[in-house]
Amino acid sequence: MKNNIFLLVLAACLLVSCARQVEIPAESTPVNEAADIYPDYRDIVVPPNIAPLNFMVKSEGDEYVAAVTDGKRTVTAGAAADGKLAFDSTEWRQLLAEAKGKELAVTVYAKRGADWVQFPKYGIGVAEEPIDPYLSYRLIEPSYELYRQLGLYQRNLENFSESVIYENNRSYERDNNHCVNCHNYQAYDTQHMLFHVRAQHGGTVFVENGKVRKVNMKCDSILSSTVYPTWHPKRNWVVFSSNQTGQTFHMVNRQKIEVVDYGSDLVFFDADKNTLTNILKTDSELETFPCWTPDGKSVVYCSARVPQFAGVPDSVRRDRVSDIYDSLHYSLRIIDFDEQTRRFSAPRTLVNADSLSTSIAVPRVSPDGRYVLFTMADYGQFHIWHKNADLYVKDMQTGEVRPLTPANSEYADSYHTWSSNGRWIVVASRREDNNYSRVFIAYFDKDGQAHKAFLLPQEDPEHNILLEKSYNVPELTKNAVPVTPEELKKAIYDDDAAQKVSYKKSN
Amino acid sequence: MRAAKRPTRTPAAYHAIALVQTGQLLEGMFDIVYDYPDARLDLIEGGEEYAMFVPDANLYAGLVNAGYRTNMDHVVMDGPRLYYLKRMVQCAILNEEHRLAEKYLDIISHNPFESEFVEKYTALNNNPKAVEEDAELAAIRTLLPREQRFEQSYRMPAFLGYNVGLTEGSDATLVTSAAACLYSKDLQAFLLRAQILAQKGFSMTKSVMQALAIMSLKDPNIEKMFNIPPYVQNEVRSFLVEAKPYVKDRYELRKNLKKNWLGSYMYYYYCENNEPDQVRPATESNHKAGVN
Repeated sequence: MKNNIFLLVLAACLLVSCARQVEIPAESTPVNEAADIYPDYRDIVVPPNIAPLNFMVKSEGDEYVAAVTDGKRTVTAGAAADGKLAFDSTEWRQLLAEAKGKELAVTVYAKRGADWVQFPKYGIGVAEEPIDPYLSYRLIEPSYELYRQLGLYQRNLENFSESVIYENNRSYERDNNHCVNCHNYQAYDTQHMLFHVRAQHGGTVFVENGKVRKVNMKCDSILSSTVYPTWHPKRNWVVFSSNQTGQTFHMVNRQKIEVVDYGSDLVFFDADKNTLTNILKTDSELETFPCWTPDGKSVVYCSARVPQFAGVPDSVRRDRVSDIYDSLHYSLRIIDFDEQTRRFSAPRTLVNADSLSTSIAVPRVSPDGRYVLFTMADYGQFHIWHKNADLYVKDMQTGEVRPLTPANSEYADSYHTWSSNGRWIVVASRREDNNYSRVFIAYFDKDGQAHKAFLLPQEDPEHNILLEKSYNVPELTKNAVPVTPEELKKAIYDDDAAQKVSYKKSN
Repeated sequence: MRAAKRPTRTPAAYHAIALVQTGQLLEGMFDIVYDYPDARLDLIEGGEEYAMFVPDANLYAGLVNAGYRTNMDHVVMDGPRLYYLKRMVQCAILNEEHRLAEKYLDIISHNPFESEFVEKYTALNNNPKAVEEDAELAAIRTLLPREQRFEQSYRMPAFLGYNVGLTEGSDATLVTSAAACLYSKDLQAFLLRAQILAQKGFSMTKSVMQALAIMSLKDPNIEKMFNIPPYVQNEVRSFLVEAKPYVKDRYELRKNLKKNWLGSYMYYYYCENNEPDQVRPATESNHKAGVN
């Protein structure tokens, strides 16, 4: 018995002594050059519950050490020549929990030969407010028309765990190949979620309180497929855009792809009754990207006036739009909703894009209803392919429209979402290389000011360089998706069980 | 290649690419047989045999965006392979998308045996002068499009449709465009290009003169316009005399004239690339779903 205890204690000592202790170099020479780090986590503000900001040092060195401190507690990480620094998750979590509302100081050291150098310190602010713990997104190549393996995933932002919501193909089957897109949640809650399935086994999948069903949304009385969704904050109603979309490929322009709508309307879907109703059905106006206000009393959306489309059939519009694509300007509009009568008011303009010679897309209303966040670019509405697309807000209290300059980049910043507390913005941005979109997070403080955006942290900081898929449609949720990929697959593949919709005229 | 009895489209395309890269397109493109057998390929990305060579043909025709796109299609459908990633490095460097090139080079560098490629293209990236001095990339740059149009404005595949349909381009593009018109047997479009070739003082190759001689059979003005040498006229007439007994049977026509006339434009124009199944159908991919 005594021998067993001795062996256990010895083993424990060995384990402790084998754990790598990273010590801050006792002597180092300060250098003026800033450390070349990737990702750029310099001078940002982070939520207190974010996973460790692992990063790599690209400056010359044989070994590296990083020390992050709030003045009381210090967390260190060490790296070999590859420069990859990974912080202990527990220590990181403790540091951030204690540093809410404060600034962390980061010092990076590099060993060159026998000596250490110390790079200038930089800061990371820790906000008081956390971010919603889950982020959903689609991973797909930044491709053109073809697809084979793509999926919806959810990432726990408090650690590095990423799980599959649904993947279309583990092994490729041509006759079953399908695409999934436009995942969406009601009020940041996964108890109500939906996404579309395109091509084989097409339909829209609804998850409601743990139950999965597929609905065939085809209806002759609406323009086309139901596309961009927005759930009413409380009721089981969804407003969709219905879009006729095409894409063309630039021969020379490095923006490469132009995605254009040659028709779009807004429709109302009662998910309890499976009925569709046209809200705005016009042939000379392109209405798209609806978003409910948090009080459920209005829907904000974008629309472009195209008088030359009046009375013109689909085939002609499809041909003409490639000639006028760069003159389409989408304005920001709003329609009010009467819950009793289920009627929508006439549209009002919030931001007139024509007067600004610009174009607005993807409006998202902040949870407190004060701000409308959107992207703005020179023209059109599929801004992820427009290099100059940037994030803007309209302050509904003051009427001011302004860019979120600290969060923006010189490349396309598009598809964004608010956190449920309105303090964080997540955006899909192509700023890394102008082609692959990555998730960036930016603090939006109580004064309505945006801060520098930072890249979603990964356990391996090289992950975002090596990954050959883009992140689409990042959406924050408070909880994890409650159904399994197998349950979703069962509903998707069971075409016979798909429910049908009926058309209901507006009141 | 010239000894191949019946090459499929893929080796024919790479033969043309080699001629473009070495500045011999109009001189040598009709030296091979253009009697494509049915390759009977059922590729995952659709497009039959075209998927095998179109990405490279696009790139070497100067269509960098189209080359990138079709290589990306391969990555999507076949998975990321070093061959496609390397081509995408070249496309990114030609498009001056340096960070994109770095990304692909980073990925490639994680594989063994690739250090030479990575070193070479890392040096080329961010170095326009070095790109100008690299023979392969410099040849592609001479063909970069000048028309700000969409790929869908041209017939497919892009490298052919663009070269037949373009209305402006560099001197190098003039040659590829003339060649594409000859290949497509669009002699009216070719005539415009031949006029510009003559105005610019390009030497008129054998195939160019033979094509003009064919056109002059219906329009004698062309003979005067281009000063077609009498021996070229005689060649065309001799060919037609020899072809006369077989005009109603294209298989006999080809079989009996091949030995003496393979390499001439007349042989190509009247005897080759004229099977109904050699006219490419419109691409129908099973996997398109519009915008992803």
